[in-house]
Amino acid sequence: MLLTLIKKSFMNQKKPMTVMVVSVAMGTALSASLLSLAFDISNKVSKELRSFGANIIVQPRVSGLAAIGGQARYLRESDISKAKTIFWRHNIVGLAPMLAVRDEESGIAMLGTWRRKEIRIPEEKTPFIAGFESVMPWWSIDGRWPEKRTETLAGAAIAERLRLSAGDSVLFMGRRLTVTGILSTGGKEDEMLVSELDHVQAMTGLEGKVSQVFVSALTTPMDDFADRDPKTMTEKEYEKWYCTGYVTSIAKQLEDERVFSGAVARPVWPVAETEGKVLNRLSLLIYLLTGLVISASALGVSATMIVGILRRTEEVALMKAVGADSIKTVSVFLAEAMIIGLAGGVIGYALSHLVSARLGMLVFGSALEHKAVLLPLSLLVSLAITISGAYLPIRRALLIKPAVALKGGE
Amino acid sequence: MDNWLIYFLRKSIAQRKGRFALSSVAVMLAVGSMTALATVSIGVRDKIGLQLRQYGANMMVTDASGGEIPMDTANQVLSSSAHIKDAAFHVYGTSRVKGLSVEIIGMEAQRMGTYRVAGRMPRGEDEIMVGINLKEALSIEAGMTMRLGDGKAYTVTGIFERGSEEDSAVVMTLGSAQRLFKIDAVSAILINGDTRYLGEIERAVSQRFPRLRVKTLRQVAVAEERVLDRIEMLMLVVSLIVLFSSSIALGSTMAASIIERMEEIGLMKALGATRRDILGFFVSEAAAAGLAGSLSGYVFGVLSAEAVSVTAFGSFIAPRTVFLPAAAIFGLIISVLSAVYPVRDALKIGPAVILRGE
Repeated sequence: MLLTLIKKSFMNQKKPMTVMVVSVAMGTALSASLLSLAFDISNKVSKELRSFGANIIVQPRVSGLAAIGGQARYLRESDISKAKTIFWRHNIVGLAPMLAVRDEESGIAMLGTWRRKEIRIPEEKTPFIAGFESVMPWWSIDGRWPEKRTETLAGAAIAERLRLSAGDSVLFMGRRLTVTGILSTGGKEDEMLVSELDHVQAMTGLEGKVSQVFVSALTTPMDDFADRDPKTMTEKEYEKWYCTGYVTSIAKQLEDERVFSGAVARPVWPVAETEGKVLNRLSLLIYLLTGLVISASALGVSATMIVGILRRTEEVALMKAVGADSIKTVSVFLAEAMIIGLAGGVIGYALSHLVSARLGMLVFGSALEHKAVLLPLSLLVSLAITISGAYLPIRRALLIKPAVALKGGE
Repeated sequence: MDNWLIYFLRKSIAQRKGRFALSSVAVMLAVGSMTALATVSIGVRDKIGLQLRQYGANMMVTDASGGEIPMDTANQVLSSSAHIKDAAFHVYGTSRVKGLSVEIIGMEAQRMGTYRVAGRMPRGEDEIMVGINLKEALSIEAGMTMRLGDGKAYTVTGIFERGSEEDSAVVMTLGSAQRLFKIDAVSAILINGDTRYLGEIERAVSQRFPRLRVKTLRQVAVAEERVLDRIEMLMLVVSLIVLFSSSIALGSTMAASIIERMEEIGLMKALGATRRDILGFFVSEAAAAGLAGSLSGYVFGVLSAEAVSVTAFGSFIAPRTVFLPAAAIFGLIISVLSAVYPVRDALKIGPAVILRGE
């Protein structure tokens, strides 16, 4: 009996039913797409924020007076690849070594680094691309990167001071180097000659040594827990801290003796702290907008449902007149609402798959991660929308006096 | 307009207040969420830009010959371009501490930027904070006093860590540094300019002050521009998705409310109303609901945008009045369009068929 009624109801009113399903599907698609954006926004934007440069700098540990002046100390170049073996290795997205040397006679400083270098990671098949290109994307070279030992780039400021341009030569530590291009960074590198790390090491007899390693890592924003001193934590708390991707815990793992020996890894605070704040604010913004849009579209869809049921006042009256009780009447309409909700929910979920993939590609160049939890969530949203939309008119319909309604009054 | 039309409309709205309100609310919700998104989209650049400013300045002005910039010139630089959002004065120098030459940085107390300080930042004349690299070398702790080159004793308010070369320096207020070095000038002006107009700022400053050197700090400038562009793009795409799907949802609500009134259309036809009469009647009713809904939707949207902005960024957002006519036009178009189609469908069917209820 119930089944026949519902089947007839759908068959006889294809148009209004389609309209309702479309409206539920649109509302659900919108909600699910925005939710998938909200879930993934932190990941996506934190990758973008990495263009602000390294958030951890590893340098040799020095104590006492050696901190200012004193004998220069170095890190081992061979330790660099070990950075990709720590607990948070997948969060390390960039590594750039720097070796700074100075020609005491002329006072000219030179920096050795990698532009793009494949490094082999212990126990990993695919090599990792290290170098300043991924850590300092703002470095811009007018000319080409030096390939030979006798070549170098000149920083913009030193080039201006010494009137150097591509093709000229410059004297450094008794060697004549050809300038292959001008490097603009807006930082202290503008005052230096910059060349391939190997060349600078060979020139100065510092083979296998680097003075600093710039690390770009994806991190979890700092919170009150992260601000605590790890030394005061209980063992359990320490473990939780160590296994959360805070910039401080990643730095701690990098300065481990088995990674960079004799090193201290310090977060670059302006970068690390701002990143956390921006990410928190932006996620909050997206969540708020998602909430706003979901509630607005849910109410809008409910309005469609209300309209759809209101028009069937007479039907309710008729059912009552032929002897249906409240439970039967309610179950017919509720079942209809649920069918509409489920159909709309499934279509909406499928649509949101397309939308969030496109949205991610368009804005971030990679699809948004479509979490499995979105399917039950979308169905929940669509059912909630339709049932809440059906609730009011059904309640009103139950109060109808059959005779009055059938006569055409309201 | 015919008198009967107005009479009909009035009666129709008055007798079906609930349903008229329902249509208006549907328009209001759709227009409201779009207005909110559009308002936030326009404002997001400024709001996130404000956050990104903590990464540091994106321009630096120094004296071209390596000297100092007199205070009055420095103040004039700030007013030389409207695109300068914020600026900080810095004084750099060195002073002898316990036989070592230590770098001193003076900056305004309220613009010290992002430091991790164990203790607190210096505020007064005789206060300093010391970089973490100097902590051991000078065996200094927060709370101790330290004599600088001028022989005065300074209170160490904290030990700071920044993760840059500044960690080997001593930071004090601008006033203290100017007194220490006996100058009424600054070494550098660090500017946060609107990333889209850095070139203009550079031109404006270097034209007015040929003796100054303006440098774009590419690390912050390039990254800022990139991130802001992405976020703006994101908001734009989200707004478009919301625009599209809420128009469809709104359209179906409006259509459903017309489909419900098929019998009315049949009755009107049976009583001798022409196609134009009927279309005109329904279109005017939809337009009335659309207009009422759009106006309240605009207000609802602006209020939501403010609520979102205050919660996420702790500050209000400037509402754009241009969205008011845009909202009204959008609400009108969608409601009228979604009325026209079902009514035209209904008109194709003979009145007898509709009235019989098939």
